[in-house]
Amino acid sequence: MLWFPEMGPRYEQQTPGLADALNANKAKFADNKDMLTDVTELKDMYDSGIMGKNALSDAYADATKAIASGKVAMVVAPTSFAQALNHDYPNMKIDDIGVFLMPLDDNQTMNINPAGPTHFIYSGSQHVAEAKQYLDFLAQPENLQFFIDNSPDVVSLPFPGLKTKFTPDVQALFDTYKNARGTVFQTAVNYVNPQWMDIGKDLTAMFTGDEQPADVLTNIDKRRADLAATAKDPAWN
Amino acid sequence: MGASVMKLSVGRYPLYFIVPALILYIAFFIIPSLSGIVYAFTDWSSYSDEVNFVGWRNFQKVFSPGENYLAYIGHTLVFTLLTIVFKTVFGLALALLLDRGVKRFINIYRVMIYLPAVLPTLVVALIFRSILNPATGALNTALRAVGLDALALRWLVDPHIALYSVIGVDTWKGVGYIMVILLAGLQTIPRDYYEAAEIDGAGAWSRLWYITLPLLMPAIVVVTVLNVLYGLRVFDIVYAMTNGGPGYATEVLSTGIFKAFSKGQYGLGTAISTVLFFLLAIAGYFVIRLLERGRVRD
Repeated sequence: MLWFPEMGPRYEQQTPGLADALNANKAKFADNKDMLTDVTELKDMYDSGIMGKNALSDAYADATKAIASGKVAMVVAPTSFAQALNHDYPNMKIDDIGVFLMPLDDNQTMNINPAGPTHFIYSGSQHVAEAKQYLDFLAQPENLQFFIDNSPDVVSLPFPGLKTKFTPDVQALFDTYKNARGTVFQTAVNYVNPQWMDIGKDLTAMFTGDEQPADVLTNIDKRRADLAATAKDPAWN
Repeated sequence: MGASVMKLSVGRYPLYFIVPALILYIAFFIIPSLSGIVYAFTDWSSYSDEVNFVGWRNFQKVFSPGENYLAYIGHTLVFTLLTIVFKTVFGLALALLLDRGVKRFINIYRVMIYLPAVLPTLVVALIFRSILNPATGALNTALRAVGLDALALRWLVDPHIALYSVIGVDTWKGVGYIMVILLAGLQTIPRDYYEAAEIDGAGAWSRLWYITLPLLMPAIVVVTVLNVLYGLRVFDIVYAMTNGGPGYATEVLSTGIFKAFSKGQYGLGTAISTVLFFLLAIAGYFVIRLLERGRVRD
């Protein structure tokens, strides 16, 4: 599933203003040739066996085990994967894990998700002011840094001026593409994240041959329209 | 005198004795159910405090060929039909075996066969997800070990067989419960009928067809109704084993309802629930009428 929306920066690079146009209901997923290329190449990868014989039953929870076993060469993973691998299998060194960009559609852009750990409070609560004070406390630089330094699974947070725990390879990747970055589409485009599981189902149906790549994009547009109508989004009325 | 004694011995309670229970039943069951049906005609959602009447729009969506909900209905009906058949047939076979077929350790067998019915569905689903894993699962590993590689299928991953795999697991889990009910029914059948039939030269199949099944019909009605109600409302085993996947191959009505509510589309969710409610009511009514016709009356 990640393959598709994480390529948002590439789609934006090829069609500047695409995210805003999608949010304003002035563009459609089904009309975008880069998205069609992306899902078509995903299908090709699945059919050619690059994802392995059991792609539909392999679980991400077993990714470190699969890499450590040597039976798998690559995984789609967050920037903390090398640390997680070293934690689970101390014989696997962090330097053993390299990193590269998602290669679909000749991509040479870095995918960034600016979302981070989130706290919610009911908007009708009587303690909204106190909740804001608490969030303000959490957002203090020294507290954010403490969170990064003491959380095994957290290597960075979406706030400036913090020291990350990126591996040298990951940091080098960020540095190489510092001028070619963008926001992933599950964050930049409305009504994509709420249909995450449905898009995953469509991609699975595409892999098994029950849907065409174009159908995946058409269904995304249809569900976006549904969700926008439910939310009474003026762009869809 | 005799009529007065009969009236007192019937022991009829005043009608107002049931009023408290009736109030609770109406307040917590009837009114919410009817409210749900009313909300199905609205655009009730988590995104807005306003609730507006939208007519049949939600139902049009449910029955639209462009959506997947008709497939969900189909999967639900297939699941229900097959689990009724498998659980009843296997349950009856096991009940017959444990009634008079097996002579030793009967109680141990009964406990072992009934045990899956008391296991939490989530536990069963997670265990069978592991067992049915096409690469590392115990089933395929065993099949490959004995050279039956051709039978080592992608049980929960192939969209053409995933639903049947879930049906198989659900049958394994529920057959003990059905067996217990049918076994209780078998034990109420007087042995004299079988002895008389044997004397008259009736074989095993004849005794089953002309004695056991007719006299077991009340219990069969009970298990069929239970299976219909369970099958049409199935959710947990499907959600835990496949989450409706691969793709949409095992989506059923209840998973569709869950997902509509998860997306904040409460009006749509209640519309699907209303469709399920009417399916349950119609199916339950016809099943009881059909099977009651075959009952042997004492």
